[in-house]
Amino acid sequence: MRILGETTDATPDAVKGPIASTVGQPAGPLSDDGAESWASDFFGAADDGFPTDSSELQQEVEDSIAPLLDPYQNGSADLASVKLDRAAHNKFVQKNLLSLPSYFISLDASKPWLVYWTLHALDLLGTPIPPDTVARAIATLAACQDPDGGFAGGPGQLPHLAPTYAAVNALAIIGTAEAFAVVKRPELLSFLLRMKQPDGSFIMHEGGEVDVRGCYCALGPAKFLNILTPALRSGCGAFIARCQTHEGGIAGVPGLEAHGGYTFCALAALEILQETSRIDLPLLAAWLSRRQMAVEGGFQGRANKLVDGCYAFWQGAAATIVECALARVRAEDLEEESGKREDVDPTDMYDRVPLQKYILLCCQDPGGGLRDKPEKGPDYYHTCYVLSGLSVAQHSYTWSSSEEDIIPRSSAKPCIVGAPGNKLPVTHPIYNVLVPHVARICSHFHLPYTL
Amino acid sequence: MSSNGDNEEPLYGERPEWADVKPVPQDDGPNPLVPIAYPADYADAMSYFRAILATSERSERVLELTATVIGLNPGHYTAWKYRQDTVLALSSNLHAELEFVENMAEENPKCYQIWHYRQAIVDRLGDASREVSFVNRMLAIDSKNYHAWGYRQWVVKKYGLWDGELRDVDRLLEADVRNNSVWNQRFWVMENGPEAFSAQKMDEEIAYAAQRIAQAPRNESPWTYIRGIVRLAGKTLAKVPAINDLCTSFEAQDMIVPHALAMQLDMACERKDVSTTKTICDQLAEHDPIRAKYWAYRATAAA
Ligand SMILES: [Zn+2]
Repeated sequence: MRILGETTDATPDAVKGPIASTVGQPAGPLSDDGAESWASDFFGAADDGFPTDSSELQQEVEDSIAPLLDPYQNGSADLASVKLDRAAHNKFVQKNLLSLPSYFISLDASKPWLVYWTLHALDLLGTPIPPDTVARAIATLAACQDPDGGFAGGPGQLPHLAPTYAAVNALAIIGTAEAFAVVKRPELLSFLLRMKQPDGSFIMHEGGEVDVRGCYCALGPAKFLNILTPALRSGCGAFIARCQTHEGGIAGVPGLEAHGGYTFCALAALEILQETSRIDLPLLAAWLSRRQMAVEGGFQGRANKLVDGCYAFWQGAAATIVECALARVRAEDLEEESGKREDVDPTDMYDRVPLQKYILLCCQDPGGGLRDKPEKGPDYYHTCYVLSGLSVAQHSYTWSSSEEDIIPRSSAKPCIVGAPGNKLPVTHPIYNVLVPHVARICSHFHLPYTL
Repeated sequence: MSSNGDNEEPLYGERPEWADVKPVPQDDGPNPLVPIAYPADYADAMSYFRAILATSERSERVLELTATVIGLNPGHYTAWKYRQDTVLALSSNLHAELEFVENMAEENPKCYQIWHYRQAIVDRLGDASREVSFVNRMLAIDSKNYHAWGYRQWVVKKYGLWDGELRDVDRLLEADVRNNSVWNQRFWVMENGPEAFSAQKMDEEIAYAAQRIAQAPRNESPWTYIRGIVRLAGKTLAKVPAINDLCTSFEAQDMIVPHALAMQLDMACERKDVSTTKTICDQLAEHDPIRAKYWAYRATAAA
């Protein structure tokens, strides 16, 4: 499932890996997982003796991942030796950067996404981005910029909020004066305001559809470029709040089903606005906690749907933002009681360990690249978001009232499943670029610009 | 991908009726990243599409050209938009457009543009009589298609087509009681439908959900539905005896159903009964271990 990245689900399955492949050879004794009760009879496999399409598909997935996970549950394989295969993933990402095969025309209206997915994946893998790639990325993004503001999916196409977000994030990753000089700031602001609707929502492009992706894709770049004006903000939080459903999660538009991708976009946008109090955070926390799959350990996007590696980021980052927002509420409550303002450490609401196991054991394609689930092939989108999810699951974050941002919690030890070398750099749970890149682009554009 | 992929049609560059147009080739610049090795048919059609964009031509032949581009790349939102503007400018046969969309949708059910385009056409047509059956055909392919449900809500609300909604919801839940999209639709009808939501309606809906829970107690959807319905009625869980009865019925059968426990937890929180809250959180941590951290958080939050 592709959430942010436009187009269809026709993601090219270039390299389909064999279904049952293990990453890291099983060997050695069990480390500290012996006590974990693995096969849950409850939220997991159980179909209550009443099978339907949903439970049968679920059973198929559980059966297909059992050979990958079981050796690490029953102690016949050593989890501590399981590695993130950086070299293979690196190769997968870099292989086609200078010429994508013809079936990539399905992403011909998503060029800035391709640039962002690849640069962010390389960044997470700790691969220095080669100077030639940087120069090419800047030229490609510049070619997608509309003279009247905003970035399009490709040269000469209509400017669109999703590629605008991807382009600005990619430029934030590159982080040079040359990269920052690409952005036409006044025109970009005027494009964002042209997309703004009276009810606070955004259309994705001229004549295009409305959903909460638009809020996130407009506000993220606006925050980076210091053009988050009152006119841009107004009504946006109220629109997003209307998208929270009776389940607690957030839908693309008011009335639809709660969904992980939209939930992330909505919550990240509210956090940028500092308006998370508009939604029912405890109800959202309950919904998010129910999205972690009992047997697989990964996240699903909606109730009674299947696990998918990319939700490690969408749901994992959303859970992180909720944890931080609830800690902020507690700090405010305590301040009222004691008159003293002190930040409060957030409480974990999902289990980072089984999520990382799912990523390491089920989402790594043996030929390189990361994937939705074992029977799917790897692609750039999943490589980017599965790695992003791994980063969020490894690190702890907290709300800092002095920095007015969610920051990595320096006092907390990272939670690294498998080999110690699996540790990734810290991605920002709101913007999804590495944390230092956020400060760098914000300080570059610190002088305000207003129309 | 599309019928044009098989390339039975000649390239636009070879067609006499396009001889007056000077194609504009893709300009990726001198040093592109992620350039695509375009197949000949796509490069050809896109060169003519760029030329048309520059002249803003609105004509029948533009419809054929945009169909080719969209057929090869359904996510090409610029081509969809251009086609939409052209169709509306020419007052083309809008029913034919609906057929065009349906053919596209069957092959690309998750493409944003297709659904948005259909909405624009129906909006202009002012005739939504075929739309619910169209959505039902799409739901027969994938009963959880997010775009199909979104489109359905737009059509039903805008044209007041509420009559068949609960019948279709029942049919789809009969087919798969775990289809959460259908439960969401049921809630949406309760919240937005023409019938005012009343306390009596709440009781009926709880009974309906309880029946479905009896089929598969570990199915999350009807449990969440009950919570939503009670909230919609402006009530609290603890004040509705039927919910307590439902939860305790599993205890009587010696069955541990975490959803029932979670409901009892919420009721204990409503009553500010801290000791029961903690007991239930411990039980949940044991029987629903993947969420142990969350249940531990709930225990501390209640204190
Ligand atoms: Zn996915």
